[in-house]
Amino acid sequence: MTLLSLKLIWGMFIMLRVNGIQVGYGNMAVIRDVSFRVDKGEIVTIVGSNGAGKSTILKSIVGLVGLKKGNIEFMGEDMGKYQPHERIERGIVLVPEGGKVFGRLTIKDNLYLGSYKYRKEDKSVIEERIEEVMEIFPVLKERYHSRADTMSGGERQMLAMARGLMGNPELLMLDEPSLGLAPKIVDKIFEVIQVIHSKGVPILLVEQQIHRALEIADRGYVLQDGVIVLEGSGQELLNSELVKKAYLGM
Amino acid sequence: MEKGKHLYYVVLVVLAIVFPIVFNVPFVQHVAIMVFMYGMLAESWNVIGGYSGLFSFGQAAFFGIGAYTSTLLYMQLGLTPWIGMIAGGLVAIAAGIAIGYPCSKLKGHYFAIATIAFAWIINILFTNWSFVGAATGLSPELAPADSWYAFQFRSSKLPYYYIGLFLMLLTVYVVNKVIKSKTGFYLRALGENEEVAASLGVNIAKYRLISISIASFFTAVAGSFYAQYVLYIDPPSVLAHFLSVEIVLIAMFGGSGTIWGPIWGALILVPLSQYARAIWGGMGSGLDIMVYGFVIMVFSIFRPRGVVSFFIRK
Ligand SMILES: Nc1ncnc2c1ncn2[C@@H]1O[C@H](COP(=O)(O)OP(=O)(O)OP(=O)(O)O)[C@@H](O)[C@H]1O
Ligand SMILES: [Mg+2]
Repeated sequence: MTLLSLKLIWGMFIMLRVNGIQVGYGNMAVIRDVSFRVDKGEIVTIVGSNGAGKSTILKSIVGLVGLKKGNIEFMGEDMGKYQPHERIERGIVLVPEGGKVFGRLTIKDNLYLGSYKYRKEDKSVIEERIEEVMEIFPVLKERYHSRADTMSGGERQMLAMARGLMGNPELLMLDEPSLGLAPKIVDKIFEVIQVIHSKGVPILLVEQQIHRALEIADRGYVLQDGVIVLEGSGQELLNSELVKKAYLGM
Repeated sequence: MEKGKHLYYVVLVVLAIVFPIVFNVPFVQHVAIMVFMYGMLAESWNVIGGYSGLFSFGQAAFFGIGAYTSTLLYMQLGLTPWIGMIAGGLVAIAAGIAIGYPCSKLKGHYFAIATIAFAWIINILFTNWSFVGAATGLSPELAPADSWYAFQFRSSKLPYYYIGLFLMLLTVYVVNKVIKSKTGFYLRALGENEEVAASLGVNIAKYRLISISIASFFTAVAGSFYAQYVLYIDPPSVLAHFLSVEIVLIAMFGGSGTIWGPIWGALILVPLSQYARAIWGGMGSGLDIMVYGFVIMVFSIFRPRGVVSFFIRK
């Protein structure tokens, strides 16, 4: 078997492979020697407290911040040579934290922006996709022509996720989707994450709501001050001493 | 509704056409010509500053590039300023890309600082460059009579008035077309939140350069127009830092991020500044600028979204 075909088979199972990355701003290293992977069909979570470097990891995967060391492979291909828009064309989608939507644009326009990589396709293709996505988020249908800044925090988060789905992701990365939302809304968001996952989209979920995230995750990583200190299946981590003590207050 | 709106525009344009015939006073016509020129400049800035979130404080550089290019081409090669005007626009696009490309990762105020520095450098360069007349400036030979080829009209201001009106409306038309297009859609996304736009796969560098190119082109065209109007240019008149600031003020005062806002800004602020200068400017006390500044302050407090917010509901 040639090296190339080995690589292809490798790529069939492993979506994302992050190898010993170091990331920082200026001279300060925020992420040090972090490695993890996301396989096809998985929900993987990275948990950690404020400022641990969770968002920085996700930004480095889409290329919004550069790597100082290490590399990132997506579907068997090194991402180093690609600009953010080229990575997204390949199917990586990041839903940024805080339900960041384009407030002055309508819900419809926000969704259209999510389909940027299909901009050359027929309008009907995009509209069909909007219909599909709105089935998961019915609330967006009701507000289709309103400005996004008229929506509640929970609705914005839904819109941000729906917008991410418009890009037909091979891997969906969610940055703290529960941030600042009431428990009831968070329940809903987590339900939706599972619905998306059941449609076959692998998910990399970054969370501070550690219990909830680990409950739905296949595997998880605990990030402390830019270093992964523990990894395992969701259940293993929930039962681990470190997680119980440091994060769940048990 | 749509029909009524069209009628409204037709009436406005007809009024603009008959205006200088009714008010056949040179100073009034001069003020109107300045309104058109600043309207064009503010509308151009609107593309970058209003829609794309790129706060440029260095537009004078592009204005000057336009003025110098067409004037030099006319003086050195005898090329008609009409073509010189387009050439100036193209040179400005090149300059815009040359400055915009290395700045394509700069955010917010860093971008603003870079544009100020750029305008500064261009000003110093032109002040010391003898080929472009250095500090003395340039004045093309005067044509013996009014001439379309030489783009010189001295018997009446009317040709400048109509050319200015046309150029301003052309700018508004093009900007409106761009903003309503797919490209404009991505520009607005960029202006709203660059990082999110990037995380959706929008090619930030590309759209920034498109935006900068459009603004640079029309700013330079306005510069050529101005050069033909006054027929004398030097760094303090066409590369002035205050000009860069005025452009931003007018656009924001009228309402940036809307199509007609910058034009409203020019319609109100330009006559105010022209008349203030005519009435109080001679006293050498800077009173004209103080009055101008005061009006802007009062408005920014009560109408932070610009004059245009009187006309549109949120
Ligand atoms: N643009 C930046 N410039 C400099 N430092 C930054 C920048 N962004 C983040 N940091 C720093 O990097 C560290 C990690 O930040 P990051 O946003 O990745 O944390 P996080 O785990 O996502 O936190 P949170 O849960 O609050 O979102 C923090 O100390 C933060 O101050
Ligand atoms: Mg974060």
